[in-house]
Amino acid sequence: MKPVAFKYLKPATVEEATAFLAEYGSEAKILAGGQSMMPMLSMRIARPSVLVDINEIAELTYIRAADDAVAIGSVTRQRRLGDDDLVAEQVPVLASALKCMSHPQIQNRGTVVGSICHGDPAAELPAVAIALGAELTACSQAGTRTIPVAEFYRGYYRNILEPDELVSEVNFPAMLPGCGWSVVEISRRHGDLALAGVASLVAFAGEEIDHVRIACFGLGKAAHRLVDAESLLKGQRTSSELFQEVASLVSSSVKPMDDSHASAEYRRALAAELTQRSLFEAIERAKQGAAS
Amino acid sequence: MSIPVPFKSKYVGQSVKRVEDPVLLTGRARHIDDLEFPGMLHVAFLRSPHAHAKIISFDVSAASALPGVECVLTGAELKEETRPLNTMPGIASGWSGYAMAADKVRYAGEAVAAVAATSRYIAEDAAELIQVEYEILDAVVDPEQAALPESALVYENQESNVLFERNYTYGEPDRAMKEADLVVRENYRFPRVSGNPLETVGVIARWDSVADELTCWTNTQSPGGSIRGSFVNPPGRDQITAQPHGGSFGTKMGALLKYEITAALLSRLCDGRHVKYIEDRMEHLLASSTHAWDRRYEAEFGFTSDGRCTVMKVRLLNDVGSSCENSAPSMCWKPLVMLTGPYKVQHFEYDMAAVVTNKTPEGAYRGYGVPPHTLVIERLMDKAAVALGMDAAEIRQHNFIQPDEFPYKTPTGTEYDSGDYPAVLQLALEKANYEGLKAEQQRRRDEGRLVGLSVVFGIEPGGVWAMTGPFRDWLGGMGAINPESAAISISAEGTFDVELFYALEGQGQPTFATQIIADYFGVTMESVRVSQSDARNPAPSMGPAGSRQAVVLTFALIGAADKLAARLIRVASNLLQTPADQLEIADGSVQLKGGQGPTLPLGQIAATMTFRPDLLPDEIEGNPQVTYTWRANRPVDTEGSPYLSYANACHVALVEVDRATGQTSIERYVIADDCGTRLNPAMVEGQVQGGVAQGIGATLFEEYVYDEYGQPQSVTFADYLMPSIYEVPMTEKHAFVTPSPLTALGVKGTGEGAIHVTPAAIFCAVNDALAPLGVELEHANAKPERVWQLIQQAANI
Repeated sequence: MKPVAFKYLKPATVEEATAFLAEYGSEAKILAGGQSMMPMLSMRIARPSVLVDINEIAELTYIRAADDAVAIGSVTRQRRLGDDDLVAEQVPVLASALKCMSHPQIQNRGTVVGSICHGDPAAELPAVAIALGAELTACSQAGTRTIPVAEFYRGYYRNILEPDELVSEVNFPAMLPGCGWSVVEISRRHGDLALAGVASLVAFAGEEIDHVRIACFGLGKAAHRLVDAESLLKGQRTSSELFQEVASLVSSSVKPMDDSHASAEYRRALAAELTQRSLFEAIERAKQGAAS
Repeated sequence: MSIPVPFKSKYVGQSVKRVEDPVLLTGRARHIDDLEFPGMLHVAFLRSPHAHAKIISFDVSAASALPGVECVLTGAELKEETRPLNTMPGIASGWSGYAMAADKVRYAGEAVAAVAATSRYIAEDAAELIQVEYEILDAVVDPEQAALPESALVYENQESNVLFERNYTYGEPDRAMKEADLVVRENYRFPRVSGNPLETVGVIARWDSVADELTCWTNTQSPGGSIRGSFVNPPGRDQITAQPHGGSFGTKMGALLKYEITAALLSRLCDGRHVKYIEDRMEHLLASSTHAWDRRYEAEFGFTSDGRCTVMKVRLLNDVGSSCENSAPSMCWKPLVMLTGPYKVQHFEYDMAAVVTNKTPEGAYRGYGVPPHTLVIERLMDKAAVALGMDAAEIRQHNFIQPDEFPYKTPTGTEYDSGDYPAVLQLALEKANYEGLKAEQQRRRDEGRLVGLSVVFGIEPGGVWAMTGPFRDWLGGMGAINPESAAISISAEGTFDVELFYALEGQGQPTFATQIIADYFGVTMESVRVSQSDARNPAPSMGPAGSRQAVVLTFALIGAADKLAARLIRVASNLLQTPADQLEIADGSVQLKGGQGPTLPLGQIAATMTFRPDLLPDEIEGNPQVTYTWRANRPVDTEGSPYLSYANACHVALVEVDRATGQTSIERYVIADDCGTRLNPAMVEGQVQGGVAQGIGATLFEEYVYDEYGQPQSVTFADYLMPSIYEVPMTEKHAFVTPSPLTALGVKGTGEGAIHVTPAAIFCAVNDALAPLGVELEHANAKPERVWQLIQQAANI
């Protein structure tokens, strides 16, 4: 379990980092928190000839308010989602996601953006980012562009980033006032990647669901939104019949995979159960929010 | 309780802090990977990607040419220089390969070539450059298929894949089964699991051809071995030196041999340079020859209508993987020493068969084969209880060996030393508030929830002293004794140095050795220092195995202390001009019995021995240092028990199964156990908690999975799921003490008890949870999807 030899570069600024990426292109891999990258290097699954370590880029460590949004730099550790006041106030769903995620030691090192870019299909943050309508800022020597996380993934561990691009920030839109939320999952052990999981956001106008976003993880090649399920719910009053209908829609529409931990069939069953649990919890929170 | 000790106990019986912990917790223990030698080379292996294949050719030219590579050794080359790995003489000869595969590979992950290079990085780079041409063969994966005549052969020199078959019949099981009022039967599977110590195995070898000597530094748990016999041209002498290690659980016994052989040969080929190999975690999970208990059972028990078990029939099919290189199939035999568990049953048939398959070889694991057997017994007791309308606790009470029946001779001839099973069970029930738990279970069942409650009991053979009784069979009829030694010396300052003859492993032996010696001589624990002997020719020791050290080391320590004390008193007798029989040792001095008169500090006696030997009596050995080797004074006969003590425990578990997901959560876990005298109660509890974790692992999380081609699916900790602190509840532990009449201080072995009983506790509780659905789990690993499938099946009935 030793990596193949690689050139190790440690830029101090975004400018330096993008210059390295321009020079080495697809030979290079970016090292952020390293919680997925280091094992992949050690197991020789990833064999980059150049490793660009962005951990020393001071300008990329921040959580700050943007226009109706919370912007998080790409070296910011996941652990901060659990103790940051701005996150708690504007995007509390992120703190809930953190509770489902890995162990504290991993969260202390792993980065928010790193998890989204790595795009493990069973990871929590990509799905939550999609539900929130988050956007990534990708920069290169050619300039910067904004990519909605919902449009970022292209299948199993693949994304649309160009080899010379560095994601410098993720931008989470603030949740609507009174919006309820939920992140639920089934994993074999505490802190494991999920066998299946569902994130949802629900806001009411009176008795009717006015705003709803549902995204799932562990149930396909990448985290994704469940638009059809959202359509069924929008404008409706809540009822257990409606939730069951949504759950069976989700169960039949997702395309999970088989592995040694769970079959696709089992994951579909979990998808139905988790959809219901997530909606119940989000609605409960929305109602509490409205009452307070 | 009072401890039956021959001295005033100040420390023995107390939960004193462990003396070895500061060194371990501050990272100052010298583990195998901490050792560095000038010019040392590092080994990486190329491992087979195929489960079963002929090796057609090797091409190592590119690997050899890589800068930094000193030697590339193929399995074919190794075969010319070495002998096959150990098997089980008299039982199964010719069922193993070599340290690396030469002609064909028998499991995915088997080493086919090794590289020695100036760094592990370069060695791994080079290993990738080795070209091996294979001809892929049909993989033998399923053990039942493996036993069929049409199966592909794992060993072409054998007629089938059946390693051995044995039948042990006691009493008249067929007649008893016919006469039984109730017969319960079921098939069970136990998952393939293993120990996963924090530290994997490692070895540094130096073969000095000039001195004609091989030295291996390893982290073996079995001291005193020799590997000379493994070589066609052996070194003149060899020495295996054990470093402190980060846990073993059985994985650091036979599994090391193949690495010792390969590293040694590489050292010889590299002109005697030190050659280091440290197994990485993937190699451990993939190929460490330590997988255990991949077992299938068919079991059938007969009962009278009033709930008395009269007969047990257990048929075991053990998948040992690709070889019996570690003598690990002997784990089939251990249940013979506790075949009927805590129950009085006279008729028994134990039918065992072991087959080879194209999987990683089996190796020793804490419990050595008893945990699956206990699970089978306890589950069938539960089934009978349900069929007879009895409570789980009641049927056990009804069948227990009673306190006045000890020593109790089991059908196989082994002898249980002591115990009070009804009282231990009663203690567990009281502490758990069993009636309250039953009411709570009923309340939640009425809500449609799946709640399970189990009460199970297990026996822990401990203090293995010899290979007697049923164990002689797997040694081909030979007996053997497993002695243990201790050395003690006293300084002129009155401090004691105690030497043990095996490496620090983590269970806490240095601590209880300190407690015992401090109490024996009436000094403070700070005056006693325990270390590992670095003697070139150490005294006999088997090291930790078979729940033995609390028993055998206590014997050795007290034997050594007696020997030293007699010498000190004899010298004091001369100095004080007082007959020796009027003197005793107390508070670090020799004094007149009864405490009157002058006292002579022990340090002063030691000083006299060192500096004024002219004052010693003529017949005395003037050395304030003794070594004592303990051996049980018992016959090595065909009957008799290889174990001196039989601890016992009752576990009560309450679980809930999530109907929608099949996930099991443990809500209460209560243990009452009797391991005799507790030298250090906190350390006993540590052993119990760790065993519970491994039992929970086997029944809810851990499992080495292979696909239909023999490809391992569990080669990282993302796939082989070790339970963490979140999954293992802190159990409630209660002590019951019946001192053993056969051991020093009344101790009983306690290292394996919890892993014996926990799998049964979880498995029985999960099955009890599923009972209202009319479905039953047969696979002992209650993986959520497995349980969910059963729930679906029930919904469709």
